Amino acid sequence: MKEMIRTAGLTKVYDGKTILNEVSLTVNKGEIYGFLGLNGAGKTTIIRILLGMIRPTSGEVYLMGKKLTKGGDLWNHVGYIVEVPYAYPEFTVRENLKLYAKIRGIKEDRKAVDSVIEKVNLTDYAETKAKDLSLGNAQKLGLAKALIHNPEILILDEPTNALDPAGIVAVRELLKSLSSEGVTIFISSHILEEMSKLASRIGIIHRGTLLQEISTLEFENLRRKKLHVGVRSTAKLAGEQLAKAGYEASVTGDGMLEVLDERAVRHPERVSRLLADAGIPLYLLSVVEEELESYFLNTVSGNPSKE
Amino acid sequence: MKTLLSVIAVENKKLVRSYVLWGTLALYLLVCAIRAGEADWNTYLGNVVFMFSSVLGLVGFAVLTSWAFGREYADRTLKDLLALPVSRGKVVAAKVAASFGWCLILAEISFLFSLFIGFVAGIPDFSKTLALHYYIQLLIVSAINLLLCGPVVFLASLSRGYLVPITYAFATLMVALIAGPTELGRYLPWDIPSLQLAGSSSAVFPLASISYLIVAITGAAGFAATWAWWRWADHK
Repeated sequence: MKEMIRTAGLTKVYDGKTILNEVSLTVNKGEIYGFLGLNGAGKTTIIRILLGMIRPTSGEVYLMGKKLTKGGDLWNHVGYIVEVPYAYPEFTVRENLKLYAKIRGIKEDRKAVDSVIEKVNLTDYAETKAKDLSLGNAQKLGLAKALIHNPEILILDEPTNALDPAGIVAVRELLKSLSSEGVTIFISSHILEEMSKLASRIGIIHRGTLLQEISTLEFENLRRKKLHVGVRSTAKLAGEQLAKAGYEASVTGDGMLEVLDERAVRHPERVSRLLADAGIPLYLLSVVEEELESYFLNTVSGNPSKE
Repeated sequence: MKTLLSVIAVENKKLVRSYVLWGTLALYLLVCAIRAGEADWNTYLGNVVFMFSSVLGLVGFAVLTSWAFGREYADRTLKDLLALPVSRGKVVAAKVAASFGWCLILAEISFLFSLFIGFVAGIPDFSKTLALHYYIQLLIVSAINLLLCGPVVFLASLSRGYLVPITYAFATLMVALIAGPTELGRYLPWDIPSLQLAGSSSAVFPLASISYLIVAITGAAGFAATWAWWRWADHK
């Protein structure tokens, strides 16, 4: 598969403090690479290096197989949103996009502007000044700027920030559709569940070090599963019954039983039968999968990493 | 070259749509109109051009050029600009070209407006030679003041805004007013525009070469520092 983004030993040191430490990652064509990290982990620093806004202390960046250097036409293949996207406040959505189309040297700028406005669903706000846009629509304008030249690589820093639920779904569908067309997407976000629905691969960075890279499939296998049992009688009694049958169970804060035993997760009907035979009625039996947020926090807390 | 022209066109559009440009023009016209009560054309046009050699040039031009740079920080659009596939040198050049172009246009509009107001007010003793003399001097003092904007654009970039460069411009005006009548004046870049105008009755370029060289060095140092800063500085 064609490598679209590759970093090799990327290190950035500011005032003696290591912000990035030997980060090497690869994003292939058509992938949506979710980049997770706490605030200050180094996500935005990597994005700024990928966009040439800052230079790494050491290490290299390759886009579409070519080493990133000053000049060249690599930037024409990249669209981006860096943190909150801002636009010229006195210009309308359409005028802002025309400015960017002109700087990018897009010949049929009118067609490109109309097309991208429609793509991000901003038609109703095309003549609205940027300063009068809601945060969500400002975010869509940022996305439109990133997409106006039909880039092969999209680098997005928190693109669903400030969007309402409908906006989040719309952006998710748009990014998925772009990915299916072969666009490579490198995306950082703190909305972890959104990332788990969107990304095909996930990288976790903590204190400047890339801790883990996993595919969505691997994540499915790695994340812990547990059985939640809701009982009408006291949970303690039900727990004792389960313990007798060899299942370790604990009582959660909301009075339910939580069983981590893999046999219980695979065969919840056996747990159900066991409790029913003991005369303990159930009102809920549910297999719960560990969420990305929990997986992320477990990964990060288990790796203090070095400063 | 085509890219540079496109970026200049974009920078021009940004300036045309800014209230700073039209506010500056309104102020220039108001100030020119206020001086229309002078006794003759020589005094009137001399005063108009003197204002461009001092406050309207030193501060007015600085406001426009620092706005062209500083607004990108104020509107937080700089990071988008930096990541565009256009060299930073071209962005700097385009901003300088667009803002300098408009400074000259505003100066010329003000001069034409002054002529119009002068005729309406019935100021006596007009002559084409006199008008041409002051028009040429206006162009020369404007050019000198534009060169003096080199440090202004550097300060706008360095301080990430327009407050510091505008404060700097006011400070240079004060220095110019204080040091102007002294022997040191001809070596102080901010005094050179008004000394140029003051001596212009004897020659088109009345000052010693060293004075013009000081202006050129000041401008070149400012623009080179700006270019280097945009080219080399980390933009966090």
